[in-house]
Amino acid sequence: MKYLSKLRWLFLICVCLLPKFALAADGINITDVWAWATPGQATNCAVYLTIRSGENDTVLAASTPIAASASLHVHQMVDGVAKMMPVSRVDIVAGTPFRFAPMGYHIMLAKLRAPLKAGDTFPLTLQFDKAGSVAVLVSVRPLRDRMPTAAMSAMPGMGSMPGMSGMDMSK
Amino acid sequence: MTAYLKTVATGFVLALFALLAYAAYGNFTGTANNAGVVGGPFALIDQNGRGVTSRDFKGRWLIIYFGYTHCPDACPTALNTIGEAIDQLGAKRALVTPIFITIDPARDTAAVLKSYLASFGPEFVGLTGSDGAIASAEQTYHVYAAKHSTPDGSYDMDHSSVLYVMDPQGTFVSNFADEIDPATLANRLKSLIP
Repeated sequence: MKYLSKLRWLFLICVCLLPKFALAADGINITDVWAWATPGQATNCAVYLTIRSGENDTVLAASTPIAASASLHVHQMVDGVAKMMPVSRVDIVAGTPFRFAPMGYHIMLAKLRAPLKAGDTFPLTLQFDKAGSVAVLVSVRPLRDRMPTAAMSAMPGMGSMPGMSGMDMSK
Repeated sequence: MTAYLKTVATGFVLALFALLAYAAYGNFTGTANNAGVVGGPFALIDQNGRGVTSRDFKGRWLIIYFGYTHCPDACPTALNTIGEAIDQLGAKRALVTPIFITIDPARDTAAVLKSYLASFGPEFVGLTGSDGAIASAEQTYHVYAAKHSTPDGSYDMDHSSVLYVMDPQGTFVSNFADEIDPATLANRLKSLIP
């Protein structure tokens, strides 16, 4: 009897999960893709973005023509000390947005070929385990923007804008 | 009776050790919040190549952040936060000087700091100096900084990423984590600055 009730629960859970599996066909959606304008002669920068996936997937690598290297990094506070650590993979859970954001996960670009200026855009390609290559356009945000904070959502890179969502190149 | 005394004495010594360890830990991580513990005199070089000391900043409210210009994530974000917070201070903004002290003096010369900080605003002061002078400033503020090499033959810095607020007498008032948002920082500064 106990087993039967357990099975019934399992069945219920399976039914509840069905829509999640249905989402798998939706693929990868990448929004809010941005980087700070580079201050002075700085040649390193970080790219931030939000990834939504219909199925569990893994970010394996990133690349861009505008820098010598692009690597997955995490900024971690260990006893109040900020440590920048490369990571070999970032797991994306189906249906859960994963944010690369300041003071957390970011894609570090090293040795930029030119400074990034506010309003610029540049291409970046993410390599996923299942979804393959996904190309996005990174918007460059101004530093110390003096616009009122209420206008934040209208700023480049802060809201979802046409051309900023993921285009699946593998298709 | 002696056994009892011994236990009490041991307990006392252990408690003292724990207290000292806790205090040392707080200092090391830059999270000590008893005023007067963090900060002190320094003698460095500003972004214009002039020698300056902590005395030159007496009378100003300071927001001090230690970082380096090759830092891709924490430093530009923290400096941007400081700049945007200052913009929200109204009349009190005239009392505040933001200071960026490099933990990477080998690469961050006065000229490098000058062009870097110009992107954040004209009120920013950048400080560099000899390895010894920077090490001394780090020690004064209980800042931890260490190089770690990267695969491309370059290096990154692990470092304490904390905003320190000093009052016009040069006394430590408060500190904030680097992920604080500009509006919250502005509100905290407004309540700290009379």
